[in-house]
Amino acid sequence: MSTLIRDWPQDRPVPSQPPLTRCAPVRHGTAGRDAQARYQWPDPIDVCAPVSAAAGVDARPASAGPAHPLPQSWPPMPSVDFGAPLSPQRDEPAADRGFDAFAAIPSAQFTPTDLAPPAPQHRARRASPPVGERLAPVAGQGPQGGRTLVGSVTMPQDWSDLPDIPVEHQPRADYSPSRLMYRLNRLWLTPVVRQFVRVGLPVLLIVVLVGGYLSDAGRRASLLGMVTSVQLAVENRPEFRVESVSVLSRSPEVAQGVEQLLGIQFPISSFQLDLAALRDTAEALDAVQNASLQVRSGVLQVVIEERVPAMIWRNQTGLDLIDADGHRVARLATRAARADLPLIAGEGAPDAIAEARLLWAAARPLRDRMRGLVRVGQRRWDVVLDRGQRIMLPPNGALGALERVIALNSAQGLLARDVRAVDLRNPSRPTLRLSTEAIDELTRIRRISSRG
Amino acid sequence: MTDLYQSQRAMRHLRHQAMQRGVIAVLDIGTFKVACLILKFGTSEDPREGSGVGALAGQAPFRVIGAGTTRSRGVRFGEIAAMQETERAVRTALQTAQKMAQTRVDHAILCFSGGDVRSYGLEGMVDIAGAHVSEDDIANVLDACDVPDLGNGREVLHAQPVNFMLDHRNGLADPRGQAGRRLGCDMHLLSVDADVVQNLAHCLKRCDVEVAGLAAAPYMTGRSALVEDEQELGAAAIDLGGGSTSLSIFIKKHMIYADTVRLGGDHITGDIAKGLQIPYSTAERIKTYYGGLLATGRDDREAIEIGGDSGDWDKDRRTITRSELIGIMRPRVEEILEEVRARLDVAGFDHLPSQQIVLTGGGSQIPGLDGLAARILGQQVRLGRPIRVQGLPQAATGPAFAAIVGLCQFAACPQDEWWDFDIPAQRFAARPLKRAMKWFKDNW
Repeated sequence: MSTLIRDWPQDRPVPSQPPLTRCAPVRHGTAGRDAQARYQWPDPIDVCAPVSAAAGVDARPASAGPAHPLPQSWPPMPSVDFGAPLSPQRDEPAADRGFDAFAAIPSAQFTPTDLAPPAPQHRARRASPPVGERLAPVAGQGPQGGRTLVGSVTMPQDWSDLPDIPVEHQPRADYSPSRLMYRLNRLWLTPVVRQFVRVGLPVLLIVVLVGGYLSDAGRRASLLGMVTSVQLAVENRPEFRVESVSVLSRSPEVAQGVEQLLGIQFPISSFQLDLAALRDTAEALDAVQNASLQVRSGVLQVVIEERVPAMIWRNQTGLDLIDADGHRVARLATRAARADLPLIAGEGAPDAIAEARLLWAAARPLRDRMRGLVRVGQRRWDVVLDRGQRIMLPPNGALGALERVIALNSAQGLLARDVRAVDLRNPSRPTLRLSTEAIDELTRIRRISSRG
Repeated sequence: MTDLYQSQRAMRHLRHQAMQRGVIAVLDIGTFKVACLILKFGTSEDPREGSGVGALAGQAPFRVIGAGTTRSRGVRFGEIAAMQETERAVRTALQTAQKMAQTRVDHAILCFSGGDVRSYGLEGMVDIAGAHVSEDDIANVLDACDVPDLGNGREVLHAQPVNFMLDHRNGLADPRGQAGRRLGCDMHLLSVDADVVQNLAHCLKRCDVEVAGLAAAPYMTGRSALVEDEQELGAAAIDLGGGSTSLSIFIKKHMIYADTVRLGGDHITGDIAKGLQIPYSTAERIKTYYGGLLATGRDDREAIEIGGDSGDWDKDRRTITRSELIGIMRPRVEEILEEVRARLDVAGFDHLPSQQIVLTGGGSQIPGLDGLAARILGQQVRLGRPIRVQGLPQAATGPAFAAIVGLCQFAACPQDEWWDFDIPAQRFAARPLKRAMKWFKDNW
């Protein structure tokens, strides 16, 4: 400090600028000196005061930003351009500058290379410098256009290179909920309100929107048309197309009959095939016991399980084949076409076909003479043999009665005689009905024997 | 006094109502923090295995389902100094707890340490009407207690019968049904400044919550921080709070004395802030991180950045040593403890059979406090934490939450108070039929 005062040109007029309100740090107290002692001497700050009263101060605006902190290292980094010419100050003629701080003070030639302030930031006085602060660039100045004071020393420096001083952290706004928010929150936590908002309101909204949209008949029709067209488009995809039907059956007649019965117009979409109904249709044919339908790679496969004819039933319309369950299978043109099957007749005969089968099996010794079985009055069977012979069986225990007759026949040749009928309808009183000739013959024999 | 009697009865009614609804909030409006817990009653499932929570009396049937804590604002010495600010703090705490509990609460039990509580011991004596002591006799003897002049604008906060005498027998906990002629009663009465209570109630009313009960913080601290044998044999619970230090003396499971010292942790913080010229928040932080009461040689070398935000490099980089900080804190803590000692002496704490002292509250977390307190208060000093209750968040199990945990217990199983008994028939005209019957019996 004393150096500066001693070198001060005596003839230089005292500058008329007001003293700076916020100068670079001037250390007067002992505390300041202690702080400087950490960095030993040469200390640019120590020379601050006189300079600020004289030469370089003009460039420093009165409300300049915070003083630059102490250098992080000493001696300064060698990247400083010591030979950079000093441009004349903005509002001071060059002739007035009788003192060059750079020449006078070795320590003032320090330029901090890193101008970024250290981590605990200084208070940001302003966001941007005022108009007068930024210096007009001087021609021929080079990239470092302006000049400013760093530690009270004029330095070539472009302020635009300086990073923005971070804005001071603003304390958070009041975090407590406002009364309105508090009340709304409480309302939201009320179970009834909550249920209404979460369930009732969406349901209501959807109902109102959908109902409002569908209330117009035209929109309803167009929506329906759209749905139908989409449905048709999907159904008519080639993946779902059924081209033909193949009926697998034991007899080709049945297969043909089923195919005609189904009566499907091909091609058809598999969506339009109601397989359950088609199966019912196929099974409606008497010869079909069971039909299984399947759509497989564009072909409707129908596998038919046919009824096996077990007997022939002669009824008023003609001859019918019936299976073992008594169900009609097909019509038979002539008895000779299926001479291997037993013949039954009479109303309600198919309902008792199980008994008929038993009787037929039991009557094996009479097989060559048997013509068939006749159901009488829907309650009992007659076994009809050739020569018009009949074995009239009772409604209950018909099988036992037949076996008795067969036993009689095999023992005594009962049926070979001139018997019209063996009447076992009352099992306790079996009766033989003889032919007229046999009666006459019997009467003649009895008369002879009574006479003799 | 009849007004408060009525309002206390009304609050008890509200409390029953809230219990039936199943949810009630407990709220501790302190100087440093406002804490709110939401209790759910009727959840009586056993505590989780290994949680350390036992099925203690009165704490099994409730569970904490919501908790909220916030910095207190506008409260000084446990009393409301700025109503709007306090209301915001209460709103914050309530809303946080409600959000956590996912339910809304309409009733809150409140505890506070302000209002300059004063203890009175009352006694009454009455001839019993029949051969056995009935509820009416107890109501009569409670009514016969001569109430001292509480002072202007003061009201009764707690009035609990702590002891009954029947003829020559003393120390009865419950004389109902016992044979005798003359029934006497000792009652502990705690008076409080009515305006403080009204401010608190008004503050809660502005938050759309009804006050379902009032309790003094020292009483609540004693209930949660003292273990059962300490409550039985005699102990003092000292709650070093933010703005005030409250103390309560228990014997035979009844509070017999409560008082508050209007000095607390905030004063320590203020001392640090003033002594080091640092902002209050920084002082609080330094106190919390580095505070202590017993300096060692190592503390001289431990530098603490106290910082600053002035922009002045030197001011912002000041450091102090920990021993300097201890040098600031210790005199204030000593002052608080000596004040507590004086109150205990006034209360006759020396005459109790056991003189256990339990330090709790946020201020009891200063390292070295137990050593210092042992020098000033007596040798039987321990640091207390509140009892564990079901569902309490880990963050709310510290000693700073002693009062509100005690309030949970108070809500679950309150002790008998004066207003729990029916009004004596001859005293109050609320039961004209009973009076008429009595008149008939007396005159015919």
